[in-house]
Amino acid sequence: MGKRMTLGSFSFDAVIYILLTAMMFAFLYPLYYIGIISVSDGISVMRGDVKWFPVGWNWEAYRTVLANPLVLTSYGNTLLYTGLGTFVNVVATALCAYPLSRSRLYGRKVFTVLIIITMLVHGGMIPTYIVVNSLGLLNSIWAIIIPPAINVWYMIIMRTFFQNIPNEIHESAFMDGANDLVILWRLVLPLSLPVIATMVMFYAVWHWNSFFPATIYLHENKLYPVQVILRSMVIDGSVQADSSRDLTTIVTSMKYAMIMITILPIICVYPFIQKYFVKGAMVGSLKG
Amino acid sequence: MKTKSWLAVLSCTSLLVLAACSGNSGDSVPPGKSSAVAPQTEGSKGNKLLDKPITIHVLSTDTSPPVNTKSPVFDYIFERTNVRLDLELAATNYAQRAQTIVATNSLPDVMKIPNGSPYFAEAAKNGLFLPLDDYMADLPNLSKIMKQDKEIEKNKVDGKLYSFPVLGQWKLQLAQAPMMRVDLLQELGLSVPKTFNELYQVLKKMKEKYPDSIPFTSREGAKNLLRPLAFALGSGNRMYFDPAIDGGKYVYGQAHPEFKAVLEYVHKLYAEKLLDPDYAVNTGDQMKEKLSAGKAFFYYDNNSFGVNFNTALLASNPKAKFDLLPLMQNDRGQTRNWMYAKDWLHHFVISAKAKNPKEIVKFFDWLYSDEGTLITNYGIEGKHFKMVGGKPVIEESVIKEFANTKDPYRYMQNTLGVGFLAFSLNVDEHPMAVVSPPELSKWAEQIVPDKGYVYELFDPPFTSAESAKLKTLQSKVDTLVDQEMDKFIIGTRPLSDYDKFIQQLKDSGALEIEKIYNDAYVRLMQQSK
Repeated sequence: MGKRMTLGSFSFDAVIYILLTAMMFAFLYPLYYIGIISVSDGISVMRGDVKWFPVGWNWEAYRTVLANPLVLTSYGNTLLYTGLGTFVNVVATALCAYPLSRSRLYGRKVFTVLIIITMLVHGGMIPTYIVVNSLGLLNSIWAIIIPPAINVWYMIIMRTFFQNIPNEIHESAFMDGANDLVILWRLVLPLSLPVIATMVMFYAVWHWNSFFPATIYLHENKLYPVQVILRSMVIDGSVQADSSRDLTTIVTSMKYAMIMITILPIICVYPFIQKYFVKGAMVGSLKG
Repeated sequence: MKTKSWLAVLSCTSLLVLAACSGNSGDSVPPGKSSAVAPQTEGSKGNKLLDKPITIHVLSTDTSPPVNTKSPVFDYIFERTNVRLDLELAATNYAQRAQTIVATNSLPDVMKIPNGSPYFAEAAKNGLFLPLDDYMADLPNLSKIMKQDKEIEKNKVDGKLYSFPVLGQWKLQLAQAPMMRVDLLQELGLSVPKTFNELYQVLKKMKEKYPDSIPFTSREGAKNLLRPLAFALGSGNRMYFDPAIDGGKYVYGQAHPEFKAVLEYVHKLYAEKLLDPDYAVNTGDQMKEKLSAGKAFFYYDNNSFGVNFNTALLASNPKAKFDLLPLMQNDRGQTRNWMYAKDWLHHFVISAKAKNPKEIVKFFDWLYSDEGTLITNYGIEGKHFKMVGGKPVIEESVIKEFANTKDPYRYMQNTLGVGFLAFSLNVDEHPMAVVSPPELSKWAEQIVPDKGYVYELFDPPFTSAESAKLKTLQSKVDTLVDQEMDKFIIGTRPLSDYDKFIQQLKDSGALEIEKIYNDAYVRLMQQSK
């Protein structure tokens, strides 16, 4: 920085810094607030004493939440659904995107249109439930993993990316005796790592946050993902005006402890994967 | 090119339609876990409810902490009745789950349908549920209760019973009731207000002594403020059942001149800053904060909150104490107040396709018997409770076991798998009273009909045509009421305008709503004769 700052640019920078700090505060404070409530004493929380620092520090809320055996099993389930689900997603999406990216596929346009229609016109909950039920997937992990195996939108992003791989590479691979599977596995996928990484990210976050299919398709609570447990504590346990059961509502600090437990892994991982999210937003943007 | 792609779209949509149709018409949904006859291990004993052991698959709601479905209480139920309960409890989003199951006609043997679910009557008419009227001989216990508790009639569809109701056999009665800092009354040398006029004077004195305080606070806007207050002041908020008019009839409160007095009173409190200036936007948490930090002294809402406020106040002011006031007389000479409804009236329905309908009916009726009620609310005699002078008393060991958990009531009931939160159709809340702070039981003794309390009632059952009409009418009238109540209370619209407002409500159909309610009510009364 050889140049001296003019007053104008200095004040401009100052305003920007102040604005950004204010924004950062606005984003971080709610998170921080959940954190301090979860370790504060319930009565102080109700009196509204907790604003900046925890009052009456204790881990009671966490102890109570973690004493619920379902919290840990559901955590394991979420990891399983996210891991296996994302794997199935990426494999299925790639297997669908690859043929659609090849111009020599017979009826490519028709298939593409048919697939896109499913994106625009959705069957709705009841028909989907009937299909899942008839396939005997109810109350099994597959009800969570198979129905959302391919997200059409992500598949199109992937297809667009595959299309940008020069055709000459395919031709020369054919000359060397490779078939489509080999080309996909040995050439296309290694060349498409950015888009694969993005897909993994998108799908994984989707699985992590998903609760609705689990509440509809799963019967046994030992199969529930952690989001279902969270929802049952935070939403169903909240005070309603019409309720005569207010006495038995769940204590605020317990709800907040549960929220912390659920989001902590994502918070820890996020700073490291955040740059892929930024990249991912650009991947698949229209390039012809 | 264009025509080609259109063709593709067309053929594709037709395919989709075909697929959807075949999915719906095929009624052959796999039965899932239906009532299979369990292996007969113990042989049939004479004193059991059923001769042969069966398993009943029941879908119901769960709470947190999760209900322990492996509790010895369920083994004990099997021992007593030969029924093995296969409980499937959904932790969250139950309303949508239940609706999906009903819509796809894939019911388990028995499932819970929350009270007020709009699809219940439709499904009953379509024959999805077992009509219980065909099994009246197997329902001695429920029939006996139904003779006394007429509210159950409201669960009927076209005069027929399709569901086992969730009843409150004994409740730790709560109400939206007047709760005041009685220590301040003493401090200011005031006596307990006996009329609403005296209440106004008391609030005024409090404000004079503590000018920074908010004497009266509330939560969730005008609707929740007026719900108890309007009835106590001689009218009622929106559609309500007024026992004082023509021997009891449904009335739209705001559409009658009696409501003006309510608004006059509330407006007076607001104008003199006795009512929270933020009453219209207060959330539940904000209200609780004000009351438990000693900034507000009076509220007219769920009395059980008072327990928490008292604990919170104790730290800063050992004398501070919220107590339930005796009901106050209004200007019309009435002393009356709502208390929360006696029953929940959630439905437990038996699938029309269930394999052992007669046995299931017998078992569910048993749940209302003395024995069934005891077991499903207290657990096993000798282990979880003992009988003292004909009354069940929870064993010390059980109370001790859960005393140190953060929420003893929930943990006790859900670990044992008993009570309202777990599995009971005839709910006895004595266990709740035992583990709750003593004030609640004391207050519950005051919340009785003798002191002027009236049970809130459920809506009478409507025909589908009536429901459709009500929906349109109520959305119009209720919206109008929502918009204008705050204006009258705050004073941006003068009360001299109220007669005009009544006319507006009548023009929008308030009286038609009343008529639909009362017709349905009369019909219900005739059916139940």
